[in-house]
Amino acid sequence: MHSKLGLALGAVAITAVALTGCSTGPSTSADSPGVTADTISIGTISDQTGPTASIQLPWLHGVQSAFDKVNKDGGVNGRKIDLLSEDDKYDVAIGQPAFKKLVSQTPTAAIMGLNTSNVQAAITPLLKQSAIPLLSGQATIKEAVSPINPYFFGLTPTYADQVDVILDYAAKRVDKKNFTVAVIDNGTASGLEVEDLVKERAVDGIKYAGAVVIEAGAASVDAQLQTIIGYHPDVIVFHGTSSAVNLIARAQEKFGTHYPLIGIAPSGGPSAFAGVTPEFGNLYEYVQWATPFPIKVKGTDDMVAAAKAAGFDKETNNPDFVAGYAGGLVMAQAIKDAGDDPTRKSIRDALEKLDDFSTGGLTPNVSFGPKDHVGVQSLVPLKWDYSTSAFEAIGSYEDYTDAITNEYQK
Amino acid sequence: MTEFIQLVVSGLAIGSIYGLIALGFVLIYKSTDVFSFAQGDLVMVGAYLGFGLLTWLGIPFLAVIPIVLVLAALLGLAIQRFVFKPMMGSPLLIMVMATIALSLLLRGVVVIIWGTGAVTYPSTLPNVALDIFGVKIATVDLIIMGVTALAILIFGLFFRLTRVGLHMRAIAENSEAAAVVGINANRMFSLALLIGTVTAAVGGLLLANLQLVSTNISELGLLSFPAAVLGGMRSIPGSVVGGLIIGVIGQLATGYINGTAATAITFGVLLVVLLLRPQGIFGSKGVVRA
Amino acid sequence: MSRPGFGRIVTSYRQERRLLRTPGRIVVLVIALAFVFLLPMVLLQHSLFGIPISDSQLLGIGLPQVNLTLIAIMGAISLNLLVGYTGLISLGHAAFFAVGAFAAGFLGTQLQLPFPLVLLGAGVAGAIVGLLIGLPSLRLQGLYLMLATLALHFVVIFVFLQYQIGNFSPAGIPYLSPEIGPLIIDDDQKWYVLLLIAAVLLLLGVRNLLRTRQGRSFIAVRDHEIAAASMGINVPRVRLTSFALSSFVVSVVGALYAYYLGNIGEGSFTLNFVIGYFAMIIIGGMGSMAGPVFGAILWSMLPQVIQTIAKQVPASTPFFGQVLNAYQGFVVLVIVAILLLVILRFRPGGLNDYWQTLKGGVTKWPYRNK
Repeated sequence: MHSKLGLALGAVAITAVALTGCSTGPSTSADSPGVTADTISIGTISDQTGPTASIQLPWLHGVQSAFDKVNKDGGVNGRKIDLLSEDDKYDVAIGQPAFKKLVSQTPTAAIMGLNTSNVQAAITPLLKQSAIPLLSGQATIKEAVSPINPYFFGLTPTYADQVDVILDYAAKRVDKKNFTVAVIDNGTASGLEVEDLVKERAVDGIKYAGAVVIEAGAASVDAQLQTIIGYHPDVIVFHGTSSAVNLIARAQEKFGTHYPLIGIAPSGGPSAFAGVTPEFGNLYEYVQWATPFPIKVKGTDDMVAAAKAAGFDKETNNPDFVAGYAGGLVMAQAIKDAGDDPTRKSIRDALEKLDDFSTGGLTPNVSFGPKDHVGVQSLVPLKWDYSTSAFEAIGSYEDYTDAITNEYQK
Repeated sequence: MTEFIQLVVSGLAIGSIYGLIALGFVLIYKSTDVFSFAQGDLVMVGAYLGFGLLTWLGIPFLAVIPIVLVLAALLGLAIQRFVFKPMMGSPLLIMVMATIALSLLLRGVVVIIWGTGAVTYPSTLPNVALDIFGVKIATVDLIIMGVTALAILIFGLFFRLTRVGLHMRAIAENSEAAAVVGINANRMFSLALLIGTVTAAVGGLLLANLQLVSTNISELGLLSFPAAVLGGMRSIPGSVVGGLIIGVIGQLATGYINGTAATAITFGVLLVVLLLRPQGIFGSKGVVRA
Repeated sequence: MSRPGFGRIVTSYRQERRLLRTPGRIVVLVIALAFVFLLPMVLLQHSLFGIPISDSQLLGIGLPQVNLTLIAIMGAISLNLLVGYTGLISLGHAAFFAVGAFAAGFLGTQLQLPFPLVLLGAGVAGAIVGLLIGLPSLRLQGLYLMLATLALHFVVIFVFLQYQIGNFSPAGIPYLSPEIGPLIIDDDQKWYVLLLIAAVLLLLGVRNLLRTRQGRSFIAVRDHEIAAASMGINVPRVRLTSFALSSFVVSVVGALYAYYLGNIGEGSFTLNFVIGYFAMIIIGGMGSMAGPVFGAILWSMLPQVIQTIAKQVPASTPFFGQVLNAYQGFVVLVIVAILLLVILRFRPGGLNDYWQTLKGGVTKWPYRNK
């Protein structure tokens, strides 16, 4: 008797499934995902709580500040920007579902970020099939721009561009045309990429002496500095975290060496200089493409006001914050250029048409083009001033534009 | 040759800290049979407690030390009371997972209070670079080595000469038999946890003088495991010697090969030691076969 | 005539051996099938039988998370076989995933072998590494195996990085969409089907294994190795078999993981990864079949759920709002840590304990489940 009851229940369940399983419930209109009459959704994917959060979180805050400002000024073509930020925790396994979420689950019109290089590598191939444009925030990897991906727009200069500027500035800093360069990196894949880039450029009088790795979590870099001493470099190219460069400064204090270091863009931040005397702390300078407060340019006042309104006034002296803010301005402009009915494709086209867009001097002017998907074409070295606790720029963006060879986009 | 000596000296300096961490770790293991994964995080907590007090109270570093030690002792007692004691007697995996959970908890709380960025102490130990026969060393390094040597001395005397120390050794030897003769096992475990946490906190305070304080500090705890194993899991002087050896191996590997290889090599050495001489340098044979 | 309980009592050995023992189970199976069949449609279309469901009502869960959860389930089951059923503590979980990803990169992306062959190759590679590390260490106490596998973790990651740099690029090893015959698996729905089938097969396989003599010897070795030895079980050999088998499976799962994500770099395999899987099997309940499944689902979905809840809490709420918004990931960490401690202290059986109580209560109703 019970077996018959069981079978009956089973039959009912299967019928129910067969009847209702075929019901289709299409969602909202598919031609303008992320766009409604009065809002437009923009997504971000970045590391908010993972190991690089201290660099990437200020970026996100910058984007937030920019969008808040735009919304307060009336939005873009009558629409307010709705920011949907996803955390990738530096992990592809989390970044990938986050991307898919921003494409179809909580659809957005465009995405910004992918500042974690592994995540960028995993997701860039998916951009085309999802037909959604992406504006990178703090990293532009080689594979994303070479060959050119129609949906990927790298706001940040690539590592190749950064190394170009670093070596150009290095010649000025050591006041020699022929010099010896060594590399310190953090041993990850991108660090090894920087090593290769420097090695490639060791021609015409520039000698490459070797590379040294400082792993994350290292407590002492005496051994690494000793190896560096053995290389007799004139200058060192640095890739890594502020903790690592801080360790190097302390080691140099101990050993009494004065090797100048020039770092790539994501490797600095005010904390790199803490706890060491200016004599050794100032040996470190790094190149950046965003101008932090209090270096004054046209757009500084607006940026500071926007930061204050969003509650992030303490971060305005951090170039990562400014990079995010500038990115937000670029995205807002692209949405505006896309017209009254923006779609993913029209935003993509608008991004590609950006020519000499000014962020008020906070970054070099941004230009994209059908054959050029790296928006910022220069960087400037920054030096830390201990007395004012702020960065100062060594020269201007125009001084270094010629140094860039655009290797990845050839 | 000076290069080699320099690497060894640097290795001894950093190894002293590993040794200090390993000491607390081995002490806890020896007394309670618990393999504590939380040791590295206790070091981190010690460093952050110091930072919090320094920035909140604005007093110099030396004044902060005793306060941090007291707080660490209280933390150790709390851990014993709420985490270890209720789970005494459980199988190894349960205890290990409990310490892992503890480490996650500590890390989460630290970030929620102090954020993810790296911070630095406003006031530190005197740090002067010295040059002794061509070997560079900083006063902080010497202080660290001094503190570690002092720790070995103090603990050596404590375990040999005081009554409480004798009781702890009895518990470590055979807790049931010790209970039979009237030694309060719980009290001894609490003491072990207390000492273990305090040594970790000292390690943290010292580390904060060498580098920026961030959650990365907890990873140093990982290197205390090879140190403890090398020294023999139950030997206190062994753990410190193990720490020194690990420090030196790390520096030599970094100096002669490469920084990335250093971790792999250090753990490779651990592997080899485990396979050839599982009882470590100071351990006694016979405790180890399955 | 009344029969005790809502479920049924098994009355013959033949019935005991069947997969679906009682009609009650058939009903459950049908409901489960319906759920599994409808899930992707609900998630993709955001509606159930025509009723729209918002993303936050679904707790922010989408098909990609479900697929990753299926992979986590398989990883947890294979870890549980080793830790929960054989009593061996291995910290090499991430290392074996890496071996699988490495094999998939070498055999799949470089040599372009057919997908099923790549999976097999990954498994064999894992088993070999397992044997290599297991042979010397399994004669020692559990503690030493734990340390040996910890060392293995770092060594394997290092080798993986060298392979990645040497043969691919710093950005990671790319993986193409797997092809099974004429079918190319390139979207989440197809992956869902593949992973679901794989997970079910694994679950049934392990369950059956534990009913065989070999499987029972695993449990015997875990419970009391001296007694097991005295019954004639070759303890080191049993441990080795379990370790090699578990490594085989974990490497295959690692290969699937690599193919699903499409790109793996050396940063994907951390100790936190290993700890996560341990958390899964402990919260779920070690030494049980359903435990790893529960644990994997909880561990994989919790961050997403917390994130969705956090979005509903405005940032102005005192204390919670600010902390939740700024440090979501760490709030999740703290919650999981507390959960772990509570379970370890009060209910070592984990979620499975609650499940068994619930199940017993239902099947034995109206009698109490004592």
